[in-house]
Amino acid sequence: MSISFISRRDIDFLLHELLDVEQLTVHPCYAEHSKDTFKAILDVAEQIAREKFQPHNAEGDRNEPVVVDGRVRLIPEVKEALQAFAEAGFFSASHSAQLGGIQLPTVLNNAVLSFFSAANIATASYAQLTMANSHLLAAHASAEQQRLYLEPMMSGRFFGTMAMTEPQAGSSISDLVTTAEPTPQGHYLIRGNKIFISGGEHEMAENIVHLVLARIKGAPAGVKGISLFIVPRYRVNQDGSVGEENDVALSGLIHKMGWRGTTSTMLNFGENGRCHGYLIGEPNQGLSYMFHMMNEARINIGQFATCIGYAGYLYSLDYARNRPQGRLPSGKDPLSKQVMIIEHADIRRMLLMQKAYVEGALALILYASLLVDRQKIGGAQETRKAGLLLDILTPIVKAWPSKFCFEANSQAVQILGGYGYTREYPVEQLFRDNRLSQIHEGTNGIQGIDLLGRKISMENGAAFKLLMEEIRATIGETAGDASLRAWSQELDQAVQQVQETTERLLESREPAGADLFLANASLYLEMLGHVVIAWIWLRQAQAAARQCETASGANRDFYLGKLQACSFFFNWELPKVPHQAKILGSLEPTCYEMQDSWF
Amino acid sequence: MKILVCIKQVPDLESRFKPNAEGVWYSETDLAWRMNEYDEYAVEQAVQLREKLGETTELTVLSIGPERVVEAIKKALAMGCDRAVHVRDSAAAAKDPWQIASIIAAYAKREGFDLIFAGMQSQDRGSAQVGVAVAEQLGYACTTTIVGFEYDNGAITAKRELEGGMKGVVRMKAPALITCQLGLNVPRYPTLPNIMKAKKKEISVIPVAELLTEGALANTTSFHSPAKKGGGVVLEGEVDLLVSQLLGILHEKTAVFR
Repeated sequence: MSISFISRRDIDFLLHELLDVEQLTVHPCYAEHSKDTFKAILDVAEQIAREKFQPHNAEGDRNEPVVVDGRVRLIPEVKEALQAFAEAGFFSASHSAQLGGIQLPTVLNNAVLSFFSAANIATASYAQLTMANSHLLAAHASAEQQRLYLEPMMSGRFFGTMAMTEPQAGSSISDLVTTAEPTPQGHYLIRGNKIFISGGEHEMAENIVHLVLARIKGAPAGVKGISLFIVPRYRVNQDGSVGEENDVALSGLIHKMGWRGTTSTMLNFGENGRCHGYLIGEPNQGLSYMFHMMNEARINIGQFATCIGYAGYLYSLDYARNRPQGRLPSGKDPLSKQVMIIEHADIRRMLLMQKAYVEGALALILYASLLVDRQKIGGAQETRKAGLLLDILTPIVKAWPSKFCFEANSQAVQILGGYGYTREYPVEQLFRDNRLSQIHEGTNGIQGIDLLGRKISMENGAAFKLLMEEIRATIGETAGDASLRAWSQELDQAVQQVQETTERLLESREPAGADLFLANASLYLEMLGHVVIAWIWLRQAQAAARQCETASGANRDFYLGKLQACSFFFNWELPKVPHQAKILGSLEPTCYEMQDSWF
Repeated sequence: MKILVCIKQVPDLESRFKPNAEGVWYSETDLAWRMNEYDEYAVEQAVQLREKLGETTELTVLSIGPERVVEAIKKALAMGCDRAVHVRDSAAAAKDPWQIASIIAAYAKREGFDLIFAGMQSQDRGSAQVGVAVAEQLGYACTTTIVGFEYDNGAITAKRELEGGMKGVVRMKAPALITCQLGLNVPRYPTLPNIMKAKKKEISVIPVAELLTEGALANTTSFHSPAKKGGGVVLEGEVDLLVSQLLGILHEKTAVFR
């Protein structure tokens, strides 16, 4: 029996019992869909992920990409998997029917992608980068650019990347120096070096479409002078066929801790002065367009982290159910039969911790994805509301799962003990794979600064207030339910603490100065993240409690498991909030005041 | 030309099975369902032929069972079948292969199919009788366990898989029925656009009473897990002693050295 890498039962619960996604089909945009089509699409995703992605996950890790005769070579299974993905139509699924898609709601699209991410993150990432790239082109590129670059990405003929990071700039985008020189023909000549470009080179597609941030000569310094360009590896002829090379050179592959099946590249653009770039939209607006992709990418990173954590959780659960070792403390007879390690309370603690983290995170990811849909199809009021919630939740959606689902992977290794530390078992790879999540698409530190420095106070705190109202609405709904009342009260207290702490922080912003105000921003994200996940768990518990009374067999066990995981989060995790609030509210300065020379 | 492909919805084999209250079949509680694996080969072959022959050919998929089997029917439609028939029968699992065959044959007789594809057996019942019995009741030519298929203007050439890795080639003329074995093809994944199109394809519902005329010829009297065997043998001692002990067991109790 193969070991599952993500729980279909949980995904179905989240989509239908927690989020009621079928409601989306009432809107004309999604009227062609139904619960049946959603199910059939998830079935295909699950099958392709199981049959084409998961089997080479370890193989891809052991045989990372290499350069042979100037070309990057990967194991053939990666291309086969992505071909199956393309042929099934997943590249174009969420695009409009006008562009050739099936208008799959984002929440469903992200549920679909969860199967692939959990099965094999390295192979799945080629697809997800291409899809994020294509969504940006659908939103901001001209009709001609869409014809030449978007359509082939929707069919899987071309793959895509985003090329932001430069060696000297790292996370500091305002310091990027890649240039774009206008030509009389209308295109730009691109010159510069980019680093850590995932999927930047391979032979799996006819072409690779890089989205490159660069400065048009004479543009203002800082982020206000950055433009966005389509830079294909091969130029594309007017009839859509692939033409000559476009002076994009691979200067090296980067050898990573995890995600080894995904090429991470250093690329030189325009070494010979022949690299054509095509401006997207208006000059100097590049960063705002790129953030369209980045915001989607940040939800995706949270989803990646969650899915890798989920795969580790399910593997260690299966192991714990089948590994006999030792006896319970009450079992004195050394000749008695050994118990399965799941019988040990400490193993159950580690399993429950993983369950609370990964199932809480997945619920948050899908909730945020549903907000993307609501933002798209809602009336003015709902669009604004969904947009505000997305604004404030995006840093949490990225950073919270990437920290805590990585911790889940650590617990999975621990459950397997010495075996978990060997390369013979997948939890070792999953642990390495998930370490990246806290780093890319804006480090977790940057997410904390984004949250506390911008999102909390944006529009006079409208997003923060709205989030608190949403949480309080659930508190109100659950306060009268005997089985949920205690959690409802505990969350109410935590929300009060977060509100008071936030107000105190904002009041001290001016007198303390920006540096001290933001010094503990990572902890702020963790505190608010814990409250958000507790809220999401309470909502799951609410849905589970409704079903529990009438359910039987495995269904009843599923709902009881949800309630127990909620209990774990409220008893073991939410109590961290008062301590975090104390550090934050007092602008605790230990880290801020530490001096370089004292280390 | 008219083609029929017969499919059955079976439990996912990774489900946890337990006998039902009557002890004559499995309980359906907590089971996940999918299309019978051998029927997927049948659907794929039928769709390939349908694509080769073009628009003058109509491919119908048929399944017998309760409401849940519509899910398998929709998968077949998304794989490329043109239309579907759902013979609604909440008690299909209690019917024997002869009765199931008679239901299919009764429908096929009135439609006049040139070619019928079926899986070689179902993964749950495993009788491998239904396809053959349908052919018998219709008076069609029939061949089973095929791993290769060609069709040319009414003439069928089928490669059969025999025991011991041997192969056989059978030629016959339509109308005919064939049952499909692992290795015949690689079933396609339904594509997302086809899933959306399948929603608009016709699914005719026929109550089973309209087609059922035969009684059961065989009844399942018991369904149970195999009796637990005794514990394994644990050999202990020095390596050379262990080797001689193991060789002795292999000589005595197995055919390894014969």
